Amino acid sequence: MEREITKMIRVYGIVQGVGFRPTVSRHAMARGIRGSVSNKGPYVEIFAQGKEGDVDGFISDIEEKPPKRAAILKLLVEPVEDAPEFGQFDIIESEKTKGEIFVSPDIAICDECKEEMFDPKNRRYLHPFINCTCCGPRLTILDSLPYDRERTSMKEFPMCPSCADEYNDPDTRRYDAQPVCCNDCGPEVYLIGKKERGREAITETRRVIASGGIAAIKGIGGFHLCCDATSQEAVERLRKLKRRPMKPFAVMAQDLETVKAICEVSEEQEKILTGHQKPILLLDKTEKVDGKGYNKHPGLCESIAPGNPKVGVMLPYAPVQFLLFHYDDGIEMPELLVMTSGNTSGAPICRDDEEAVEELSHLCDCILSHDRKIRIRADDSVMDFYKGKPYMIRRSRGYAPLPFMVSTPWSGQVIAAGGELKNTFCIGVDNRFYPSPYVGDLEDLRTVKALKETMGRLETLLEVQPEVVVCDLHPKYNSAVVAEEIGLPVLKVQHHYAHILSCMSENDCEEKVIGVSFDGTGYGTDGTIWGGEILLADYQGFTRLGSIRPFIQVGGDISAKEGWRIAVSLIWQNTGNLAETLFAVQKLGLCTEQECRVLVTMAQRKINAVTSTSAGRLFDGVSAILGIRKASTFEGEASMALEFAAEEWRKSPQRNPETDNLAAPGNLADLAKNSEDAPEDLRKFILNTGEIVRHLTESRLAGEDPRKLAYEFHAELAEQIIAACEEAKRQTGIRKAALSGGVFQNRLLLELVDEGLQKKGFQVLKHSLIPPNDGGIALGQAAYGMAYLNRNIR
Amino acid sequence: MDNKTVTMAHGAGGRQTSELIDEVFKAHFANPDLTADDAAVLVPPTGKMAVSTDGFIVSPAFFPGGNIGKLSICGTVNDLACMGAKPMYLTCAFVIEEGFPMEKLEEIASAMEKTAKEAGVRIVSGDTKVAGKGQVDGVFITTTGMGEIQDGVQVGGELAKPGDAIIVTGDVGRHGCTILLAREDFGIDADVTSDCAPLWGTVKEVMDATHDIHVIRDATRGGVGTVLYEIAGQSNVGIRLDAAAVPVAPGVKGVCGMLGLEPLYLACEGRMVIMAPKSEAEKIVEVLHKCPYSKDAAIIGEVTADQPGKVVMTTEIGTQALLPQPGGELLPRIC
Ligand SMILES: [Fe+3]
Ligand SMILES: [Mg+2]
Ligand SMILES: [Zn+2]
Ligand SMILES: [Zn+2]
Repeated sequence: MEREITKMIRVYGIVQGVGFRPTVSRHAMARGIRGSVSNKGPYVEIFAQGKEGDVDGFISDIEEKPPKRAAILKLLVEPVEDAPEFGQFDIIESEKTKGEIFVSPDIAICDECKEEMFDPKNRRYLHPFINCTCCGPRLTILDSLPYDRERTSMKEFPMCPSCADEYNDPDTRRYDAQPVCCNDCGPEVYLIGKKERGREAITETRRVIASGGIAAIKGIGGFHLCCDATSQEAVERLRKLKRRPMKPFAVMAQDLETVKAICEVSEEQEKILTGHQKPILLLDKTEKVDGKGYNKHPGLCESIAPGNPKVGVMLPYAPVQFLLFHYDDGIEMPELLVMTSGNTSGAPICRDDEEAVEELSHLCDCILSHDRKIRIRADDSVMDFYKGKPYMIRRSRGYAPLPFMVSTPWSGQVIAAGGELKNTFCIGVDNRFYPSPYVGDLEDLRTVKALKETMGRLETLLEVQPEVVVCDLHPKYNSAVVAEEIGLPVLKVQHHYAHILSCMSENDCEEKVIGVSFDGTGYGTDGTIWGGEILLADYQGFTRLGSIRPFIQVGGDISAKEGWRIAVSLIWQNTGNLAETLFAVQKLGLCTEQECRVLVTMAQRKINAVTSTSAGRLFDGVSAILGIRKASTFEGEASMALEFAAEEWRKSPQRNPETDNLAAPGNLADLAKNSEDAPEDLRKFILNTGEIVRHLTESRLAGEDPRKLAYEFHAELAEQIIAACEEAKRQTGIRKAALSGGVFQNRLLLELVDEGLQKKGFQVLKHSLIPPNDGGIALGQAAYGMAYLNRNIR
Repeated sequence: MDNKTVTMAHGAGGRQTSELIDEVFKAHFANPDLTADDAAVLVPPTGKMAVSTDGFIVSPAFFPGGNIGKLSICGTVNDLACMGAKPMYLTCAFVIEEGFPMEKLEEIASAMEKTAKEAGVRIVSGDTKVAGKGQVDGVFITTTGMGEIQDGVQVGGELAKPGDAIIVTGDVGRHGCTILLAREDFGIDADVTSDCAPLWGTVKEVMDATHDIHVIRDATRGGVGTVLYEIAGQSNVGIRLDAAAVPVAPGVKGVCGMLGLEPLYLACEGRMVIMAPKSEAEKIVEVLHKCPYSKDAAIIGEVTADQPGKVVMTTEIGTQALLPQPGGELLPRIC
């Protein structure tokens, strides 16, 4: 008879809330293994007793056939001597052990559950909360680990006998599924302030939407505002109520076919669209340029994403969202719905009834809520694509708080407060970094409050006690105030350096890199505003090797909204006198003569004016000079319009790639001389953006096609960046470049710089699952903090 | 007097000094308490006395809506009024730059006379010095005021209570805006004049209407925004502002929009911030609307228990932003 052995197996990763223990139990039974499996919080512990071959086979079963949503990061096996005799294979209820913890993000409804939901014979027919071991809410309902019903917001809903049977039976899909419930038990949907509950509430909501109204709907991570995306009238009304004139709305399509009818969908994009994370994907609208701009698909009204060649689309992920499209009440619903965050301007997405009533009542015709509480908000994630790979714009639901692991053997615990706009924070534990869900714009104090709350919650969930807190250098960021209030030692990290660090961490790169940090604005170590920077960086620190040409940013924050102000300042910098500036400004129709005089005076006398190398503002200014967009109603509008114009030109038959580019606008060597009278440590090189602006201004005044000039701007800026990296390489010998900062959301610039650098032999690090914008800097800050701890304390 | 300008001799203490004092200052400031001796001898108030001193430097010295003379009276009188004190006596010291036009000095003295009369305050003692050309810019004036605290009202920056209404007695930022335009030559022809005014009369009317007032503070340098932060700190309370309710003259709004400035941080010279229980607020505003310098008085917010030390502004589109802390550079924060 073959010898019996016992082994202990520890599995780390996403092993909770994904049906891990039942799967293990099934594998064990299939091979006649005796022993046990238990949730240890940070890991799952398994004892396996049986014939050696069976035990080994069982272990490879776990590795090769884990439950669908599980992610095994590490599996340790140890032989156990003097093991007790196990009679059978048991699933042991949770007990807690401290250590590495992985919290699962929320998971979109699975195919099996979807089928059941629409099967009239199933007892969960049309059940708005259907879920199973491999789908349903996770992070958003979790209080603490290990993941068990009593530590979630499902605690207040006792299971009915049928659900309890499924929950306890290893042979069902709901064995150990914490949020399990059915039409007879669990949470219920209802309309706030009205009598309708359950079925009637859903029917009434559908009626409101179908008749052109607006509904607020509570989903997984918060409320959405929803209306018919095919009705211009409904969408315009929502725009008016939300005071959001131009910013694109995200759309939810009833199914993949509908998406394909309105957008181009690549194979990779299809995989993401239908995957279990269900982000909003930015897809190209199918109908193309018609000479004047982009046309809409007949199904999607123009007002969804005006003047934008792309549209953000997602598929339903919460059961209730499917029910909006399909129900048995005879109401005919549109195939496309607007699904935009349910919040008032500036505030975080609403997550409970009180907030919804307070903030959404005046924006909608009905509020469909439910009584399963949301513990942590999770906005929809937003994703673009670059060369067949995801390129994250906003990382939240479905992704957060999955950790990023680096191979550096760090130890310690840190928390990083992130940036000011699009805030996310990040918790670091040893070599793992957990970026938080999207928090929002901290200019609004309600969002600041949400940041503090969510920080506390995630600290509890991950059971960390940070030793230091890291934040931005900007003296006026609310995130820095929050960081100071925590009461731990505070480390301040320069904004654009943090961008580069985030790109390094995402790519698990520890070596020194040439960081191309092209961004909006951030506070520089010299008290001026930075944003178009070439940095030499590693985890110890950075040197500012170069930047775009500094200009005067007049008017403070208002200049970020009104790019024409930057345009005037750029033109004045080039002409050096008022008369020529006035001439150009008036001919370009940038502003009135008086406005121009005022701006020049402000720039000259330095009244409410700062020196700036912001690349974001440069884009805004150029957009205004070219007559594409003088001002922005939402962040990045003018720069985006500039990119779209350039892309349009690139695809246009009028383009002649041979003659299209500018005459070389000077080179870096020339400009290095310009700063020779500067002190030694300031003798950085300057990108010749001044000459680019001069050329664009002159060509535009001469009547050149603005789309062509928009393209030339991108091409020339890319040339300058590449030349700057070459110069940096010459000085340092480093041939690894990292591209980060909000400007690299611009995929045309990204592509031109990326390809150009690769041609010159650079290895180029880019973002993929961490946003290049300020939503990503918390990771860089946290990594800096961790490196600091390990350098200075240990 | 023959001189068209002030000379060093006017400050030397001799004949010319006496001439200057007699012909320019005494001619305007004459009153029974004005001393010709080294010190004024005065009848003290029966109750408690408030004393305040302020130096005035303003460039340019003449601006739409007033001049440094008027300012030097208003500033000190308003400081007294804020303590609930009726202004009684005032002393003034001049430092004049050599070469300063005599005519302009007359104009300044005349403005002081008029304003003092209106404020019901007597100028009782003065001093004149002449500084060499370039050592001062035009004329500097220092005034010290003494006032009698009126019975029954106890106000102070530490007395604001959650639930208080916040009242501003008129549109904000006009003085600062006026000076900025006069100084910087933007070429903007905005219709903006300084709000410079003596406010004892106004404060008295309010105090006659109700004694239930917690804070009266005049918003001068730093504007209303700075005052609100000061009081939030002193009283350890939060302040919630309704941006849409803050009165701003169209001209000021235009200039601020143009320059990207916050009107709440521009100086006022004739505006009070009053904090009083909500129940009193309407009454106070009603009284203010009847006074000459507070026709645009408005309730602009309330004192809260949460966010102590902070001023939160609800904007017209409903965002709740922290009013930037006073001081420091104006740095863009939008990335
Ligand atoms: Fe940034
Ligand atoms: Mg004083
Ligand atoms: Zn499922
Ligand atoms: Zn049930």
